[in-house]
Amino acid sequence: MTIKVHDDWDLSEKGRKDAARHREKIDEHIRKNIQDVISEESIITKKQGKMVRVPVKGLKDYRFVYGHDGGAQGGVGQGEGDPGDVIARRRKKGDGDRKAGNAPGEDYMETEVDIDYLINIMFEDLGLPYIEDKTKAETLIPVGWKFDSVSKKGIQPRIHKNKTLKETIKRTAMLAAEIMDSTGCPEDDAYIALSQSQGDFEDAVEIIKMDKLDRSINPGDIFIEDDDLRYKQIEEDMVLHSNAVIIAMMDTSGSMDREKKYLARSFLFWLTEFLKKTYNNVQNKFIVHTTDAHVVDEETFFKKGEDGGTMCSSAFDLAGYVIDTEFPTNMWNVYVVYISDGEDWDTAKTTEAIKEVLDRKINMLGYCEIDLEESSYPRGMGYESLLDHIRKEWVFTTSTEEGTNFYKNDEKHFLACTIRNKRHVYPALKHLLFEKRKV
Amino acid sequence: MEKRDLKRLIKLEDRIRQIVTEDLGLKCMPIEWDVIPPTKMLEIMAYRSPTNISSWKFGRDYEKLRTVFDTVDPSLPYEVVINDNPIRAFLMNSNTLAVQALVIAHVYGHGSVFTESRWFQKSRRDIIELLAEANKRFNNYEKMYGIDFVEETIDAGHSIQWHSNPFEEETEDERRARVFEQKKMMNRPDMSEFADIVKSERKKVVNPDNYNTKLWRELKATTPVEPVEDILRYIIDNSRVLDDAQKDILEILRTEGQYYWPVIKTKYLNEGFATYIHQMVMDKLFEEGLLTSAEHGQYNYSNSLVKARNPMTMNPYLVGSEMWKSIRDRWDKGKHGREWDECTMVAEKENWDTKEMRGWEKCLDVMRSYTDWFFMQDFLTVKIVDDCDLYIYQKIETPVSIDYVRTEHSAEQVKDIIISSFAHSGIPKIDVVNGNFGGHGILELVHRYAGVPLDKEYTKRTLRHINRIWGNPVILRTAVEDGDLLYHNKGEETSIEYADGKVPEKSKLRGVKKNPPFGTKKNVPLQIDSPFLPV
Repeated sequence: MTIKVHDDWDLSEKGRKDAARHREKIDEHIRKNIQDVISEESIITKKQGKMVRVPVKGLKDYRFVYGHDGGAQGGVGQGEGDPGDVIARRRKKGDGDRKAGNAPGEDYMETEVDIDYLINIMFEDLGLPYIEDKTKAETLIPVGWKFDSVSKKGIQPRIHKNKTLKETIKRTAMLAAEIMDSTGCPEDDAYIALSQSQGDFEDAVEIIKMDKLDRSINPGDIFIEDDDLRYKQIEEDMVLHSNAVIIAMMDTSGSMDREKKYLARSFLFWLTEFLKKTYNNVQNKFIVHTTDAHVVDEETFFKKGEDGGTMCSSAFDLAGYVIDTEFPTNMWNVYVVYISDGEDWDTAKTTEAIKEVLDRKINMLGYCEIDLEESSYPRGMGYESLLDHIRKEWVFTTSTEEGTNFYKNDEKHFLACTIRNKRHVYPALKHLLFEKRKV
Repeated sequence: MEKRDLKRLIKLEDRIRQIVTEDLGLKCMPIEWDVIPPTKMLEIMAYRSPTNISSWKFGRDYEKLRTVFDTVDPSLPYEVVINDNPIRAFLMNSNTLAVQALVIAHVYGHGSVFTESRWFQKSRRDIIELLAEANKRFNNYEKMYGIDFVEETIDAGHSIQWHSNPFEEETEDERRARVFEQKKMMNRPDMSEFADIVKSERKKVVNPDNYNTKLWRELKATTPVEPVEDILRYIIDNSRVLDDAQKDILEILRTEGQYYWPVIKTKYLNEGFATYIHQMVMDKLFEEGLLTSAEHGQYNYSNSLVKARNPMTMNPYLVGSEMWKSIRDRWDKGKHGREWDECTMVAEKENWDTKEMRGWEKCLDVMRSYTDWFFMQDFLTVKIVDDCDLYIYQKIETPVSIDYVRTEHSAEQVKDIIISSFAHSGIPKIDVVNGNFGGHGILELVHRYAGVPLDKEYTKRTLRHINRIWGNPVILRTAVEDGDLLYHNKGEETSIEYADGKVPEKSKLRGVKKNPPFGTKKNVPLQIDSPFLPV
């Protein structure tokens, strides 16, 4: 019948607005499920710059539908083939999560989230505990921008009006005085002459000498010259802050299976990302150990896998050496965080090594022990983990949250906790960063 | 769009209309066409209609469609048609002329169904304007009461909007009057000649007036007086927590649900018919030289995309159009009826032709009066199952993966499973049976279980939606393979438990119990397409 062409119907405000609303709802969903979201392995492996890809359950429209648990059991398809042919296959996730919540057939979609956004949700106003003002080598922390000084050079938008006018008035007064000197005229005449000559000194003197003074002119006019211009100088506003270094240490021995390593990395990943964001100049040191310890760079730390025996003391010995040579505790706030599964060939020796590190008066020692609920290395009767041993040596106040334990020794600044599954990563982080941030 | 192309398009549309209404003898309301850019097209598809209300769901679908659009073959025809009077249809300005002609012919197929099928005769033909007005009002509600409030009501309405059958028109008062009349009859003394020897179920009542008053009072206190299918209607009329704005929102969503009811119930019939029509019309256009041979290639390619075989779902365009082709052929050659059914000679069957030539007539009869459920029952044949390579697949979990595997079902069995899956068009039958359960204002729903259970997570969340607009707890009785289930929603929390023996009339909770399909212990539920697929 009628055909109308609307090539300009390109605007789709409603679509965009409602899509944004959906995004908002997903964000809300992330906020509520932060504990599950941050323990997603893909975050660490798929990090690209500041954005991470987070799997979230897509928001669905719920209504009455048929279905067995875990999605459709089958359906009708079309195409050539024979009975028994596999027409589609979905790999199961291999992150060792055997618990519910990852039910097959669940419809996940990935969304890009700013890592800072997640950190903001996670830690809000948490910060490093026991921080002190160290006497030397303080770090300047930028807190913003400020206009502090004035210079003769600069750009138009930053002209300092008051200062410029002051300069002009000063210069005009000097010129007037000089005119009075050279001609002996009264002060008012000198100003009028300057106004009449539009600020030119020679012309003004000429006017007075020739007696061409026009007394109807306002004596107060001033004329700004390039020389008078003053500009604001923009500077970074810095506050002095004590130096801090985090020494992150991880056990990479054979007993740390894939899942434990992943939990350890997840824990330290969020810790370092958080510190990078919150304290601009915090230094990071990464140490991995099996039977002996190495300082490695960040990338290796988060990606490398290793095998071998376990001598936890080696890590603490190396940490002690690093502190002595690079970060003396009289100048630096030193934080040592160690994560392992607690399996150690010589717990007594490790305890000694820990004592030595603590004796250096570091600000905090955090120890996080991974003790999985379903471990591929079950612990036998009478087995004593590193944490068990440590708890005999020092006295801790104990608290329990969501089925995992937290230990705190305020005197020694020694914090410890256990991680028994993915969901414990977040409480453990909060335990270590319990201090309210002062900024 | 260039002027020259537009001129050709107008000419093509004119000719297509002639072919459909004159040569094929179909009736079709006038159609108004809008040629629009792809972004607008995607928006309309996501919103189902060009003026629909605002909701995050449509925003999500819009975003999904836009991402998919970039990866999908650009030759895939997109089409949106709205059953208004005049019919409104949208064409995408990026399409070639051949694809435009395909879409126009296809839309004329839908238009004929809208105009002639009895199932569309109750449809509101002003849905675009209705929704446009509603959108304005809802935006105002958003400003007045906040987005969360409006959204919550819309989400609740969306969750049960498909449970309103436009052909069920009896109001609660009319229903009560009818039931009263029926029950009153039971009170009359049995006048049959065997009354004295046959034990009558009718009670002897001494004082009929007293009985009737009592009966009326009883019925007055029963709500609903008989189980009702229309959950939204019942809630709007009987909920004590809804204010006028919420009632307005739910009323609109119910109307929209009713508008789509025949669309959902005739998806395969309708899409198949439109595809069958566009193929016939396009053949004719090429025959007449209105489209070039280069355009023939474009058309063939696009048409093959429309009828693509999908390994995970059944394609309504393909299966539907094959069914229409088969109906026409069978009634042209007389391949139906007792003689045909009883013939066992393969050769004889192959050459069967009684020169009945009633094929097209039969097609029109079916189009005017069938829904998918009967369409499938009567006309899905083993031959079509074979020709379309239809099969059943089942999910099999292995330690490392989830596999979807073709089953051993024969074509005959595949046919039967497909037919049984059309019983409710993917919308479970759920009735309101009591609005004041236990005297506590609890809403009691019953799912008429027919072999396939409800999805637990979806059911829980839907009950929560219902709770929001009902304002009181909601219970739902249903069943699974090994017993009856009771969902009990008390706001945020929903518990599920096996109903104990005390539940009255246990057997009545189930509808017609179907035998499990052949060859499998487990029934195979089918993924029914959502009613609104692109294309």
